[in-house]
Amino acid sequence: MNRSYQVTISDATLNVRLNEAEMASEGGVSVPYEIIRVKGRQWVVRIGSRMISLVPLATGGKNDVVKFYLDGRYYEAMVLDERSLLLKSLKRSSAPVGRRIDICAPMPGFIARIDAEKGKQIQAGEGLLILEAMKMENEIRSPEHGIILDVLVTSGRPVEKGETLVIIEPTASPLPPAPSFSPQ
Amino acid sequence: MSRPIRKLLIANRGEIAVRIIRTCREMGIKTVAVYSDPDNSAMHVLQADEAYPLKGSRASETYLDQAKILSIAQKSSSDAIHPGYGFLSENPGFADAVSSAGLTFVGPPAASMRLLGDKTAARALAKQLGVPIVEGTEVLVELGRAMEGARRLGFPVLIKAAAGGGGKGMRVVHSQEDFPSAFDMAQSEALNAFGDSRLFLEQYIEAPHHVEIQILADAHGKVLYLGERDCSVQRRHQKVIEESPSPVMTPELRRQMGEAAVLLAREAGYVNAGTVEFLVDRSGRFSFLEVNTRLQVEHPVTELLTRLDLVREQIRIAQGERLDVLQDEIRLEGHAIECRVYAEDPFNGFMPSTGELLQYVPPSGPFVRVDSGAREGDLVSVHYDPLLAKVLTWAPSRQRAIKTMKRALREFRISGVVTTIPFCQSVLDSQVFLEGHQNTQFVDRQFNWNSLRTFSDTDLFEAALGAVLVKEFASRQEDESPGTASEESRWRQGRRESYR
Repeated sequence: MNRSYQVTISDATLNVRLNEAEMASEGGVSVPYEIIRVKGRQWVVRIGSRMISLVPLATGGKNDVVKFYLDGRYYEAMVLDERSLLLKSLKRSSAPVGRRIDICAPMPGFIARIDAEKGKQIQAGEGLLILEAMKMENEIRSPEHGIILDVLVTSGRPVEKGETLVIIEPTASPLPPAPSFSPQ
Repeated sequence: MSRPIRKLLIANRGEIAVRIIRTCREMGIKTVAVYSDPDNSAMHVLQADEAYPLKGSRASETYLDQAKILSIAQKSSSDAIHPGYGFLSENPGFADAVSSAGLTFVGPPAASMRLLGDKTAARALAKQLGVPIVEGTEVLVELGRAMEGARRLGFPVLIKAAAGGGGKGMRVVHSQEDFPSAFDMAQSEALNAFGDSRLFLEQYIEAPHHVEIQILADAHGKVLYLGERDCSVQRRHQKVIEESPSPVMTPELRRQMGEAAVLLAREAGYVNAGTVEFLVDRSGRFSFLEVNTRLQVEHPVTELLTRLDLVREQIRIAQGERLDVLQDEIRLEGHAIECRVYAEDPFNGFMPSTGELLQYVPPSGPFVRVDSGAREGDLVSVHYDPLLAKVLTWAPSRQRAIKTMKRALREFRISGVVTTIPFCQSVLDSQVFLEGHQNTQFVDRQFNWNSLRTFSDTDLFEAALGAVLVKEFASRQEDESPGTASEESRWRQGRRESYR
C-alpha cells in the first residue's frame, strides 16, 4: 500500500510518499530506503547510498509531532498522514473563541519567586515569575497584555520542562492602569 | 619542605574529576572520588580507586558540603584534596579547613585566594602595581549608591558579583531605567550561587578580546607564565570556544601581559596554578579583569601548546617541589582550539537541556583530545553544570586546527539532549571567527543565528523521511499493544527487551 505524508520541519513542508517496495519519493525524486538495524533507541537507516543514525525520542502513535536525532542533530517534525490532513482542514473552519495562553516552563528548575497574582492585569513583557535552573535565574515574562487567569505553581517548588506555570487571557490592547492600593 | 601525596580526594565530578584521576594514575597516586545520589554510577566514580557517597542531590548538600567531604577524606586516609573548578575551588574557608585537618590543599594558599578572589581587592592591588585596570566601583550593597556609581562610570555598565565567576550574578545594563531591576536580580542570583550578594560595577568595554594568561608558581618564589588563551567566544558571559595563541597576540604584548600576571601573582603570595584574565581592545591595549585562583576549564589548551601537564604541576607544587623549567624554556608550539560541549539548547537561548544520553560517541583520531565525564545512558540533570565534554584539537597552524575541529565535531554523536555542537560548528564557519575577529560581544551582536537553522535539501529530505519512519514505527507499536501502558513505559520496555 502506498502511504503519503505531509512533513513540516522548521518552515519547510515536504510531501513524502512511501511504497511497498521501500522506495521513498519527494518532489519527483525517488530513493530506496531500509531500516538496517534497531538496537534500543539507536537505529541505522539506509537512504539511497547514505547510512544515517536515527535516535527517536518517545513519541506516541497519536501524536503528530515527532522528535528525533539524525546523525546527532535534533529535529522536531510535524508529520500528518492523509487522515489527519483531512481532519485538520475541517477544524480550520471553526473560529477560535476565548483565547488562553499557557505559560510553560522552558526547562526544568525551581520556582525562585512569583510575581504573578491571579486576577491581576499584566502588560506584555512584564515579569511573571523567576525560574532558577542550573544556578541561573531566568525571568519568565508575559508575551502579551492580558489578565492572569491562574497561577499553578508555588514558590520553591521544582517544575518539569513544559509544565504550565501561569495561564493568561490575552486582551487586545494595553489596559488602562488598574486602581492601585497597598495593604500597608 | 616536601609533603608527598599518596592518596588524593577529588572534591568534584564530571570531566574535571576524570581528568585529575588520569594524571594521578600516571603519577602513582591513589584517587578517592565522592559522588551525589544521581552520580552513583558516573564515570569519575568508576574510574577512581575508591568512591564514597555524599548522599543527596543538590550541590549544597553534596559537592559543596565541606564537612561531608572532609570526613570522607579522613575516613579514606587521603592526604590531599583537589577541588577541581567550580564548587569549593575558590573558597578560602575550605582551603583553610583542609589545612587545619592536616591535609594538603592542591591549590593556592587561602590568604592569596582571599586577596585575589575578592575582585575589588585584586583590582586595587593591580592598580597599585601599575597594571592597567578597567574602571569600576567599590563593593556596593545598596541600590541608591549603586545608581550613583553607574552614573559616574556612564552607561553601559557591567554588574558583577564580588564573590563570583562563571557569569553568575553578572548583568550588562544599557540604561538608567533598567538598572534597578537588573541590580535586584543580580543580587539574588549572586546570593544563590555564592551565598554572598555583594556586587560591584565596571565600565563596559565594547568588543574586546578576552585574553587570559596561565601562570604557575611554586612555593620557592618561582613564577612562570605559560602563554595566553583567547576566550572571546562567550554566551551569557560563559566561554564556549577557546584558542591559543590569541589572534590579537604579538610576542611583545605576550611578554608585557605575562610579566604583569607574574608581578600580580608574586605580590599576592600566589602559589600553584592560576589564571590572570585581561581584556584586550582593538588597538592591543590590555586591562586587568580578575584572577581565577584555580585550574580553569580550558587549561588543556595550554597543555597542548606547552606539553606540560598542568594537573601534574599542581600536584608537584602542592608537594613542595620546585618548578623545573625556566621561563625561557617555555615554547608555545602550533595552535590549539577547544570547543565546550554543553547540554544546552542553542536554538532556544542556551536553555539547559536535560534527559538521558541515548547515544554518546565522542570523536578521536589524529590531534584530537576529548576530556569527557559522560557516557551513554547517563542522565543529564538540572542539579549541576551542564558541561558534557571538551573537544580539543592541535595543529601547526590555526587554519588546520580549525579544520581538525570541524572534523571532530562532525564525528561527535550525541542524542538525547541538545548540545552546543551545532553552535560551535556555526562559529567555526563564520567569517568573523575565521579572520580572528571574535570578541566578547560576537555571539550577542554579530553571530548569524539563521546559520543554525539552515538545512540543505538533502538534510531536509533525510529528516522528513526519518520523521515518517519514526511516526510509522510508533503507530505500529500503538496498534500492536493497545493496553493501558503509557507511551514512555512502552519505549522503556522496548529498550529492556533489546538488552536481553
